[in-house]
Amino acid sequence: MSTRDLTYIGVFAALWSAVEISLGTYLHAVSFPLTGVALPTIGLGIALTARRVVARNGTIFAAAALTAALKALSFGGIVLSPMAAILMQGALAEAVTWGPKRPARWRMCLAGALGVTWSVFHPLISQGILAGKGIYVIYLRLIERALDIFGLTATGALVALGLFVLVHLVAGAIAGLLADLVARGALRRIRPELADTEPQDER
Amino acid sequence: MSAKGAALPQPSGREAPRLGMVSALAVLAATLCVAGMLPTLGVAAYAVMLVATSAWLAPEALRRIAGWRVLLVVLSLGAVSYLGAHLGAAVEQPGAWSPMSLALHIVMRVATILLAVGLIAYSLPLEQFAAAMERIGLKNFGFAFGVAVNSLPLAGRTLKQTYHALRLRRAFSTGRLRALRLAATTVVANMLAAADQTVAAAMARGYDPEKQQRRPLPLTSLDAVFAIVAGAIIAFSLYWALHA
Repeated sequence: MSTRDLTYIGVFAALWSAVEISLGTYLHAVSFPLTGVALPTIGLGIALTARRVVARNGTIFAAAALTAALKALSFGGIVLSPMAAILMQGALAEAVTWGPKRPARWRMCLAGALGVTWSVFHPLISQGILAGKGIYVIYLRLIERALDIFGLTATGALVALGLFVLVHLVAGAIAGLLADLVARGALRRIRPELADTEPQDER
Repeated sequence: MSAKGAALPQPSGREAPRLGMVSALAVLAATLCVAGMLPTLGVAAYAVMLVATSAWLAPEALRRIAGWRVLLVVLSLGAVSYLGAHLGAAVEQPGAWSPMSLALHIVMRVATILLAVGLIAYSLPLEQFAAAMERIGLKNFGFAFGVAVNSLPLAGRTLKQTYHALRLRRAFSTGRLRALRLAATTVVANMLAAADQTVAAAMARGYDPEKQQRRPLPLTSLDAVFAIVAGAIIAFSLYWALHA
């Protein structure tokens, strides 16, 4: 990577970190109900913009690794879990966009969708690793109890979970699409010669 | 980490001593151990040590941390912790703590970590950090990380200024998605423009990622002192956590 690529990645990681630190702290403090959708959507939007601007494989994961490292320096309760989540989101988005120099829009949308949806499953997986398989049994009992209390069926719960996942998928896809538009707009202002290159999985 | 490195003179005209990478890692490790293991009084004592060290090595860090915004954030977190514990919300702290002691502990913990990060950020030259990362095999990671650390304040400022500029023009009350896209484009364009200046500065200094070789980790005269003191603090924290 050139000095310019490395600097751009560093700057995008700073932007992602600034959002995580400032907006994340605020949203967690006020217990905003959709923090789990909002933060990954913005973060991955920034990472995907970086991918489109830098146009190199490894950009998203490098930005995620830098953001995770910066997250370690931020104040807050436990930072290890958010750091792992950022790295996994970055790895998923990187895997989807890996290969072409300028990934097509559908790839950007898919990368955003998968990355943001990871935040649904991350707590379950990380808690399973930390607390052991027994935690899943506790969760299942809690869900059964909640279904009884609210008079819902298992099908209703699955539909609710499906809708929850769908919200994440749609938000991530929008982030991918916006990232493409934002990167083009920013490049048009800074480096016009690169702005109008059509993203078509070119190598 | 100071991007300017040790080459630029301090405002007083005297070259202040600077942390090396070993000292920075020692401060970071000791801070995390103290924040995670020691009681409030221990964290407060460590914070006093950090204030004294910052006053000696990085007075700029103290000036920044003493600003009202940082104080507001620290106190807000304390207030939120107090309310959370008071209302019985799930707070990741031992349940036996009273709301006030929990809030005080979190305030001290946040202040200590801020002090340590400020000390490292304003006293460690970027060159030291990059050399350390290259030594452990993460080629060019150090450079990108240094850029990210130094760009953090700019990123925060740019986000805030862009948001306020669009809000004052009532952009969010008409087409929200369009306003969001415009805001994001402005932020990214501004950050890239700033990045181009960083690239020019790095190239003027002869930085070339392709030609980077593993360099020996430069040690400073402070490294040994900091390593010994931090080692003692970490050992004490571990002893306290295991026996208290």
